[in-house]
Amino acid sequence: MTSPLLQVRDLRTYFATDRGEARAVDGISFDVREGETVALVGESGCGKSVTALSILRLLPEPPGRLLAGSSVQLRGEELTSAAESRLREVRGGEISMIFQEPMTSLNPVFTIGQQVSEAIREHEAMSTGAGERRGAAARRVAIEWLDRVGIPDPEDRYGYYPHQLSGGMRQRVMIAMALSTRPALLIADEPTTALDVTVQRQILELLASLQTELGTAVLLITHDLGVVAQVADRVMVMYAGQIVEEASAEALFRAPQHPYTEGLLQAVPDLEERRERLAEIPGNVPRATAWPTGCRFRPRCPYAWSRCRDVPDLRRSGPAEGSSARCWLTDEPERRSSGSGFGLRSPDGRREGVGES
Amino acid sequence: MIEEPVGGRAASEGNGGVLLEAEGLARHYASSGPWGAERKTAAVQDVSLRILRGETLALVGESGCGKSTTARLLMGLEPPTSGTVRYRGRDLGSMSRTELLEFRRRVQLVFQDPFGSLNPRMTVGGMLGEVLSVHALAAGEERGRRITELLGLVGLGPEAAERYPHEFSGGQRQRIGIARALAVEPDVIVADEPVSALDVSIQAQVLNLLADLQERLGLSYLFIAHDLAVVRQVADRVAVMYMGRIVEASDAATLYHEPLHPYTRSLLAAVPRPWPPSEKRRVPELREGADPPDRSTGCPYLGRCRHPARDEECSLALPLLEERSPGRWVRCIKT
Repeated sequence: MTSPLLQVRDLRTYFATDRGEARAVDGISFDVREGETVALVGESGCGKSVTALSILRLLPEPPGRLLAGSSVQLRGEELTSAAESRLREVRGGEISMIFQEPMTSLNPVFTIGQQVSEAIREHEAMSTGAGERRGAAARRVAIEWLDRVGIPDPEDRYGYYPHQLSGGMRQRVMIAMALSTRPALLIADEPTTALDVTVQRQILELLASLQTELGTAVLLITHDLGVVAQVADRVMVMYAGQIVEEASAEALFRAPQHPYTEGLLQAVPDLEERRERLAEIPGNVPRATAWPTGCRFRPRCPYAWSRCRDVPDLRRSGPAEGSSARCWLTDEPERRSSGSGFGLRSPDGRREGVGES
Repeated sequence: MIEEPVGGRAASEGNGGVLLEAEGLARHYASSGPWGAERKTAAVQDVSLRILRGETLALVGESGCGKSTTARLLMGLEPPTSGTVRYRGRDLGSMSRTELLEFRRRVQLVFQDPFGSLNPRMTVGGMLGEVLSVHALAAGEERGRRITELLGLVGLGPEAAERYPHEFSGGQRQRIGIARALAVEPDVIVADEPVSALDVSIQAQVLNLLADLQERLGLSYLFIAHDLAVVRQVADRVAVMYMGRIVEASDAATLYHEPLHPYTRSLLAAVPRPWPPSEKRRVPELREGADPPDRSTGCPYLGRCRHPARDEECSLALPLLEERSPGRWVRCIKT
């Protein structure tokens, strides 16, 4: 088998802070294969965005630093030691990125058309070395892209400035810029979080259809489990700087393996019916300067026992092929069924949310 | 145009259970258009609703639909352009100074961003103490005891009184915001996106806390949110707003299971569900056009509407909010 599109190994990104060293990303490894959608999900401060920025080396260094031994390979090429000039080629070339708030990534003083055609021309110049495409040609391609991402009257809107568009339309422009260079990987960091729910749905559907058409792989960074279920093939759950569970979207939502994932799924309100109570994961997310010792979820975990003082590694867990969890319960699953879990029972007495049926 | 208030039947008979009531509320803002021409934007129009004792009424809708403006009008934080707000049957506009003070005490606001609404230079105890003394609710030893009690109500220990807002996490700050609102013994809490800035696990803690407090203290909530799943968890009744108007309102279970208005249907269809992908077939198709056109007559939703029966008739006049069955209101001539 050929090497994956993106291979991340033992990535560690630490920051110097007033409170000491923050181990924001602390040894994570994963692959993204050509054309697939992988979600990196977790709550604020878990390290998911820092992971995305570390891949493209977009973090300010210092205060951030990538630890020795961290490896990010794009089709076998090491990026952690790549020259800045090569990284510039990769960004917006093989790997594009879109963010939550497109307004911060769009230049307010240029029209959206100028910005899309600029992205196209710059990429052409870099990949072929043949110099700039003629303005008119780039303009034509830019208008095609504006049309493709669903911007009505693209010829007319070419001359609009970012502030003249709604949030959803601006995100469409960002998608046009990001995909017009036909990247192999799109990193999307909370791309729909700031949008209204109907607009979110439209943007997710747009991304999915363009992805199928272009064969782009997507690394989706999000806190929203509903969005994950809608678009992801595979899911990685992050907690306290580490991946605590990895599974296919099907397996994860059917039978979460890590107690943290289990708690998250039970804490989300359900559109179908009002629950008696929502599950609470007790306590708060720990700080990156002082992760708990042993299993980092131990202080909040309803199943924790003495063994959890040792650090668990990410190991095969549950019935599904390719599922793994960083939890000692994988060795002693009977503790899960005899434990109280997050203390929730639905009205008919069955445990909610967890696939132990 | 004054329309029937959106409220339970029982409420209209006798009115004993109605705490806060709006009738025909409208709020227009003037903005300057090109060349100084004045443009009027209607943020809220024809909003009538009732909040009953001990219930949760949720206002939902997308950004800019007028739900937060409606809350501000109901709290008397800005005057309506037309229409009236009544608290326990008394018109806000004709209240005496003492009555207004009492109203401001009984109807409390909880914000989205607890940090922005807490004084960074005051300890939590100092802040709660100030609220208690302004309203002359507790003094001396009684004050300290009451502060401890309030902190206990929201699940914080007495030691929290000595600390400053920045020492708390987002969820704890929201608890402090709730404690401050409770300090003056309100009967209505207006909660404007109270959990939307919180992580899922913390959001659940705060939603459970709000439910517990309602049960213990008999509070009424006006709950403003864009997250329909969160609203499902807290609301007894739901009013859906679109472009400043209520387009559908009913008890929560009915609204979620049999939405009538095409906008409500599309909102519910758009919510991504945390289900295994193999169950995706259960996700209804989102059928909606892209652009809300600027139209002065007819149904404001027509530009986005994909209701199979929509036709010319929809563009002729603004549909009225009609009660189709007891407690079930909808503003659409085709449903």
